[in-house]
Amino acid sequence: MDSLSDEQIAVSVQGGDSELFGELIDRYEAKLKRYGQKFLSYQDEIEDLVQDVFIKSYTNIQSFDAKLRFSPWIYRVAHNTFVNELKRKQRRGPVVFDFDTVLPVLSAKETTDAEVLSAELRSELDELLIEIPTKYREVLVLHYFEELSYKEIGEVLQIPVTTVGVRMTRGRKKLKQSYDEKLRKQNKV
Amino acid sequence: MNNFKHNILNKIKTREIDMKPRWHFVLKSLLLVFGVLTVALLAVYLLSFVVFALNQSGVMFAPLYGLKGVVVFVVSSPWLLIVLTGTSGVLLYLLVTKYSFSYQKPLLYSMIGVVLLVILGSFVLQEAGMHQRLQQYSERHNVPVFTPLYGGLREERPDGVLQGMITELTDDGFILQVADEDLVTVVVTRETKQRPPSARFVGESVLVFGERQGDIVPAFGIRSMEKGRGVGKNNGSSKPRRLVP
Repeated sequence: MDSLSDEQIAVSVQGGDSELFGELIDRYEAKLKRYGQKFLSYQDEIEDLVQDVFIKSYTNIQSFDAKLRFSPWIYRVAHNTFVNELKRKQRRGPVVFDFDTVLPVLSAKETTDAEVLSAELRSELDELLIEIPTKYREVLVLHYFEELSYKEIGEVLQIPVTTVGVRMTRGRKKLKQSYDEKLRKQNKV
Repeated sequence: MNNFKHNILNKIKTREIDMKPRWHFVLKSLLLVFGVLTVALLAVYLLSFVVFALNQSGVMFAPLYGLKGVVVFVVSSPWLLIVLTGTSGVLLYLLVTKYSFSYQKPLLYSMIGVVLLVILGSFVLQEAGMHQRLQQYSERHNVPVFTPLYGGLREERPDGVLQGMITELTDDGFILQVADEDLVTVVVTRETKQRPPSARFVGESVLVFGERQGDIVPAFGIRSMEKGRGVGKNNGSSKPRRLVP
């Protein structure tokens, strides 16, 4: 079973082998729960929400294009589910225009130090993430915790890769500000 | 098997949840394509119709005659159609953003693309003379929607714009024959802008911009409607005369 890729399993499920869907649950349950916890920054109902993600994934699996990677597809389903949950909780309307996605931007290349930053930041990210806005938090979570590339994050969030780069840079800056703030407070104490 | 996984697989087994068939998504994609095409055609048609209506009524040229012309343009433009055109453009943009080629690039590119597509399509329709043909056809036959739409263009005359033929030149202007044999006296002053600034002549088709006061129109703008280099062609019935007092 381990030798089968996610995409091969998804194709089998599409073909009617529903039992194999269990393998996809095994592979993605922990990841999606972690993504949900970081995305929503609260723990309640995560189990129900992730179950909802898997149910939606199964229901809509025939829309998955096996020529593409499976992980951005299931993260897209999760993203939509979590966004709807956020809207429901905050009773906030959809954001029609986000200027990050409207204008072309230059600073968008996937940085070569991503791995190094990942190692440095990973431990700090966890507790600081909650303090930064959702749109920056989600790209950081998808990149550093779920290890998706900029292109895959673009697919999940349906935004240009350049915008992913911009959000990543701003998100890192905001994290650093939060980190510096935290250090200052600790030093005072 | 953990409880979480067991619950989901159990729901699948008992068919509490079911997979949507492939045709459902194929149909959805086809509907999206159909929607994009329909809305694109609607937006193109509406924009070209607005341009045709503004052109036919002469309102399109009003802003060339100064502030008063701008006021005529604002007051007499078919705003409902313009709003509908804008709405269909926005709808088209929203439908286009469902496609990955759209959201993978900055949204500004999609917006520009949609605007250019609608303008270009509308230009092609104009150049092909589609509205003239539709207007002629709908006048001869009773076509639902089209006959009242194009008929309305002929019947409704916007305020501040008169279209007609010069029947006589006077000391301070000319007599204009507008629809239904109606004659109005057009008064030309030094402030009247004439485009092109050529001499007027009897038999010339012109657009006159100015507020009608009974049978008199103090004109703030005159535009020749004769074809050919934008300069009026004399039919030989009178001597052309410059109308600057």
